[in-house]
Amino acid sequence: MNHGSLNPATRRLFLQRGAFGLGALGFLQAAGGLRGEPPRAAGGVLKELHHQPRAKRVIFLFMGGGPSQFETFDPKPKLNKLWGEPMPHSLTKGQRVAQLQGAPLVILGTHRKFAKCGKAGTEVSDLLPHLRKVMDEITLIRSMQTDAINHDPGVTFMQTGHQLPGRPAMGSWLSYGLGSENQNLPAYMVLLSGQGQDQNVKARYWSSGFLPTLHQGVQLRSPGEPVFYLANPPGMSSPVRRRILDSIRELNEVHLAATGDPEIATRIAQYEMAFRMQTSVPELTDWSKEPKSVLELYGEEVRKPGTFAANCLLARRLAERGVPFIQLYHRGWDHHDGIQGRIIQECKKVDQPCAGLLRDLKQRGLLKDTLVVWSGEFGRTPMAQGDSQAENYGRDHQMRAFTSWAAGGGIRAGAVHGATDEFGYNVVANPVHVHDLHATMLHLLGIEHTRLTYKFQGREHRLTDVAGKVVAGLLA
Amino acid sequence: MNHRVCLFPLLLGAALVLRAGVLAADTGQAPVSFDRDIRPLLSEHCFACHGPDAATRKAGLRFDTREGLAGVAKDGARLVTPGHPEQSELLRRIAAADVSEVMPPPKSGKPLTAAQVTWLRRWVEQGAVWSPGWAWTLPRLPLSPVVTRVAWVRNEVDQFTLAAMERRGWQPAAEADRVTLLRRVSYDLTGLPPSPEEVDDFLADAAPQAFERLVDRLLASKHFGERMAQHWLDLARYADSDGYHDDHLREMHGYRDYVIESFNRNLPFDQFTREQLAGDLLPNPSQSQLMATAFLRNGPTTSEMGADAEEYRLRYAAERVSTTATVWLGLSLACAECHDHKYDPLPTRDFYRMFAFFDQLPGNPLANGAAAAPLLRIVPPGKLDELEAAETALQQEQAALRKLYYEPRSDWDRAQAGWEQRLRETKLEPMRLGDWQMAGPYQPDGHAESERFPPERAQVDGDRAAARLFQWVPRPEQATNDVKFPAREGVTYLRRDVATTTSGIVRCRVNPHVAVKVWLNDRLVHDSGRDVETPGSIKLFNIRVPAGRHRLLVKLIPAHTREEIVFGASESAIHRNRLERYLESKQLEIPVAQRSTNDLTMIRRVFRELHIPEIDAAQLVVEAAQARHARAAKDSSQLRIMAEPSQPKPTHVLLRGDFRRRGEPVTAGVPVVFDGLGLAAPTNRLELARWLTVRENPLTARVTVNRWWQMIFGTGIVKTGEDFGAQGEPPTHPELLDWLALRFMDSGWDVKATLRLIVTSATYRQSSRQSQAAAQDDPENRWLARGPRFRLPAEFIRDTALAASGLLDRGRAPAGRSVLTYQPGPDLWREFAFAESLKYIQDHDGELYRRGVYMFWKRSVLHPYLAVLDAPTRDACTARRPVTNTPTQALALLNETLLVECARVLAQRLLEGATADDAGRLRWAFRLVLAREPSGSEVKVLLALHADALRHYQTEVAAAKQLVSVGEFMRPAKLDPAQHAAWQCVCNALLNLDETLTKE
Repeated sequence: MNHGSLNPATRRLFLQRGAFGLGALGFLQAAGGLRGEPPRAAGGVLKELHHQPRAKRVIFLFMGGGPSQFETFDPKPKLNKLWGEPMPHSLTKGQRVAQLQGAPLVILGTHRKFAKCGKAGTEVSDLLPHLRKVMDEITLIRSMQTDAINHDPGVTFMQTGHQLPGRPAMGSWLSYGLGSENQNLPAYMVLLSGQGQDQNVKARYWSSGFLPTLHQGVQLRSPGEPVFYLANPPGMSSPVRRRILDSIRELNEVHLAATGDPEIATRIAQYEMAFRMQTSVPELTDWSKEPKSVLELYGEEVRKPGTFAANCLLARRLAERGVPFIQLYHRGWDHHDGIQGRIIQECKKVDQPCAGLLRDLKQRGLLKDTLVVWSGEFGRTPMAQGDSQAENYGRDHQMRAFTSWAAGGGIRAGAVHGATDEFGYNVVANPVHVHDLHATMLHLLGIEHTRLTYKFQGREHRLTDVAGKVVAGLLA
Repeated sequence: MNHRVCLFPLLLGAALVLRAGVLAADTGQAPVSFDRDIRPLLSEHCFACHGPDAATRKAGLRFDTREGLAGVAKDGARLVTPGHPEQSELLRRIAAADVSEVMPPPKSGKPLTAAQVTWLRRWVEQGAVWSPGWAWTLPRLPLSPVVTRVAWVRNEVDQFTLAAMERRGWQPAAEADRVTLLRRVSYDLTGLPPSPEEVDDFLADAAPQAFERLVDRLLASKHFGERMAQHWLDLARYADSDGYHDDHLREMHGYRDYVIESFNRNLPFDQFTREQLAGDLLPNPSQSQLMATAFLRNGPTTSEMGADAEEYRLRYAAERVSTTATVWLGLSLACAECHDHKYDPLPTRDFYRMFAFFDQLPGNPLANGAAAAPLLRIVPPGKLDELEAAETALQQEQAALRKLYYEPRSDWDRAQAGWEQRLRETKLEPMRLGDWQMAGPYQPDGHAESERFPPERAQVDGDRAAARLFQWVPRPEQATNDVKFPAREGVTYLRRDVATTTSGIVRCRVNPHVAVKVWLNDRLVHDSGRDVETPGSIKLFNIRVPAGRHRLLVKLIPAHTREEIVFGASESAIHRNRLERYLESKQLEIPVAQRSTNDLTMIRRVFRELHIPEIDAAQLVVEAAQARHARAAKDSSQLRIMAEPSQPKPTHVLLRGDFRRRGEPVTAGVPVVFDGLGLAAPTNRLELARWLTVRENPLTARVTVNRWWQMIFGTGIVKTGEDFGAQGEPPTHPELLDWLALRFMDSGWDVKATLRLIVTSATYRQSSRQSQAAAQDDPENRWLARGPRFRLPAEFIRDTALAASGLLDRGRAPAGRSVLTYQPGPDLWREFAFAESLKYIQDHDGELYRRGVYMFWKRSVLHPYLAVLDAPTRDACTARRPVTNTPTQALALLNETLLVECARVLAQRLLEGATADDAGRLRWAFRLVLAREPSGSEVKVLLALHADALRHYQTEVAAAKQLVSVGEFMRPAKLDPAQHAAWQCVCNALLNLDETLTKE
């Protein structure tokens, strides 16, 4: 912002406030401040990272509803052999199910074909032809575990490390810890796709919980106004808005000089950032100058706003602009019935865009410091829901074992981590709990997960609650 | 210690250093206080291993009890020997140089500073006085502290704050000017700015006690309850939806109205407590006392398929425990759900004893809506008869319809046999629907629904002359089943051809606020007036179509022209699928006598729905009865309340909080830490509620007055109002807190009297201007040497704009369901939710202009305006809203539709007012928004803005017209658009001034 236009009294005040540790410039650039506590500088609360980071930002591809690992990443030939047989009671005894409560537990195979791909020969299903070609970038985690069996607590757990609402989302923790290198965009941005299908979604999934609201995820919407209230009212052009803002600022400066409340200085700075967002956000969402070759990486749907493909492209554009936490939230994986048909559709929507995103990041040199994570809130059962012999069967929720993947930003390239038993029911090697995934993500960003904390209701809280360990096997 | 040095670490978030720093500066060689200086230190650095949690306790040593600190270490050394630091093992270990000896161990990451070690040493030197924790001891009536500036003191509150200031050598700030004070106290007691008339009245009142009289007026205002509800509803996690998973809507507004009403009639706080926690257990509870218990049903609930009912029954009970503990006791009891509390004397068992008060609710935990019993039906006075009659009528009509569907009838059954025969021989084909065509709108002379316009006469009456009077226009979206167009005044017709090989059903849907008639060829087959709307409803109905080719004619009459009309017609998939299934499964080949009851009745119903005109009529009658019922029930609601079951369920400790791992059985009881206080042990909710407000309860009164202090001054006397435990911050003015708590109880828990005491103090009346020194010495104003200054909550900013524009609460009763105001579109509820679930049906007219406290609180999609301005989703009890300052807030405050509309209507008010000159208008605007006159330079700045904007809009008239059309409130056509737009810009600026957004 233009400091030259500050009136002398204001400028004097800013300079005097050097005692607050930021100086005039820092004060004006402060991205925000919780009342009563000094505004942070461009960075977050961590003045320095705990160790050398491997990643500077995260793109989290959230697969809402819980994708089936058996149709995608975790082949289990035994299930095809035992198709229609009862699940071994020894495995399922006393274990939780969701919609299968009280139902017979019958084994369900799959029609999918798996093939070895990449240098490591990782088996991936025929529904993911594009991801098959980039498996050398990816580490598959076949041993994911969570604590929640239902969607709402499951998503909340993956997002915040706790099943009940009220804790900050992982993006909020990052915004709080690291801040953002981009002063024109929020540090935590969220993009939704799969509108109106299957899974509902809640703004609290990207809420900052007990952290200051400054750190809540800002939804980048499409179609429609990309950020709430970004557009001026009809009939008010940008120059008129600028003229109004000048008057507001002038009067606020007078009032700042009169009252001496530094909060007014912050408000002036925030109104200026709001004005800059009115330019930076439309510039961000306008991809008309992207070359055809880039669009083709993401597939045909990239041209349709609000699709997962379009959001992947936006994710890359956000990554380029230094937004540290970018979350895509795609709905459509809750296949309690009709799984064999529905999962074809869903894979089609995400396969090429995911692969395209990895390629696009790589060709720009961004993949090496961008951590990409793909995960649902849980996986699905090897047991059928509905008649395993008819055509309309599906799979229930499964929290004991599911598959996620990660790539880029310090993740081992082209590997498989962990394994499940021959039923895909229990993890038999290298379990990765959601808390461990969180700890590992923070580790890659240069943060020790036990040391990024916030005191609330009398105790130091953290993303990993009281658990979590960095999974060395995932690191490059 | 130099202030500058000690404040700097605060920037790094190290609040503890501040505490130590302030102490060092404040107390000098004054006696060490265990509660203030020592316990927080031990709690932060030692309790995790040497505290209340037996499971993690190391070396068997605990420092949280008197006995523990008096104990001995393994080698026999006394931990603490009063008066003898050199004989105190604790001091030796914290000062040890050897890393294997020093405590806390380095790997804990919580080393003590040299200053902290000194404090502990001084504490031992001074006799190691112990106390159970200030919050666990009863408030004591303190002696009035001695102060020098006696003249400044207006009431006892000031004695305490002044004494603290004088100890620092500080002086109170001057009194704020009268207008600032008036504005401040109006926000604090009503949440609204004072009107210019109120300003004049107050300024004209030169008699002594003018301010006190003003306070009394404000406390008597009906807006007082709304203001207090804004505060209380966050604590009560009041919302209009279920929260989890589908986030179904619920009807809890009766509770909100109860809260407003209770504060308005100054219900004593102890009674307010009893009614909310146990109104159902009071003798002969009144309706309002039952409504109050909705407090305990306000928590989030789920209806997710596959959820475990027992898990959620227990989860809700746990939520009630932690909410109750936070609201009344200021304790984070939830910590003890899985393990003994790490810092406070609250073992897990205590959590489940509290739990046993709250886990006895009968009913299905996974139910929602009208099934979420126990429910209280709330019917406005005089409406009950009508509602009951409508209910009876509806039941009768539904029974009659069922009879038509399912009862054997020889003539129909014979016809059905013929239909089944034909169906078996027919190849099923989907119904074919032609393109949509449209005609109109026609402006009615008389009654739109009965007036017959040319398209209707042409088709229905076969009037050939009429057919020449108009032309059908094809619709661009003809390929789809939905026609969508902006509603215009008058009557619009739609036409569409239908062809089917077998009899079928066309399913029609239309959005609310539209009256519809449908003809099949010349026969009227559907006629519905405007129905009563509830959020989430769209109107659906069936048109029966025999085999053959037909023409549908639809007549649409919108109730208003503010939203689009969407009309859809497509083949009923249910009926089509049924037919296909019957044919595929060859069910129709089974002789009627051998069919299962289910098949028999379902096939019969499908046949009759497809063929029997009486069914149409009966369905219409049922629909009409439903509409009548909805109308009768319009202002009624079903409020979730508390009740006790006939058969109590046993309560168990749940190991690690896991509902499947039951530990020992427990009975209801309060935490054992309270045992020593001589209170009778409560055994049910009512006794618990009484126990919370007996004089021997050390917490409730303190917690409550502290929260009001926080509401008024921005920060509580205890900053962590939600945590009075060992990990919370100790009070800055412990004696003031005790004095206020005792005074509150002595007054009979009189809410208004207590607030009056606070706002009539000299402390409250200080100017909020910060001298540079004050800002540096006390940036958070914890020592109250100036008045409060902080941003208003989201609701009050909205209320301010509404009040200034004159739109506030125009002709609207202060009760009833929550309002759905403008929402950034197209429909966020649907963007977030399942495909066909709830639709956001925006309100209109006076509903739009109600105060923020009445806004619809949908937890999963909180209104974005509320969300960006720090309003909580209310998924959990919120005792403190953060007050942040972000760019997305700036965007919302500049551009949100209602706020822009308020600027527009305020501009109208200025232009239509008595003042003709611009400077006069601007002065009037300042008085409406900020209660004060503008300064000369302010006038200059804004008149320059006005001039620039006017110049712009005089050349951009179309843009001006757009700008002055924002919002639904009427606009006088005579106003010049450019002038209006220019003033709207000025008002938009005024409504965005920091001063406008801030109580100061």
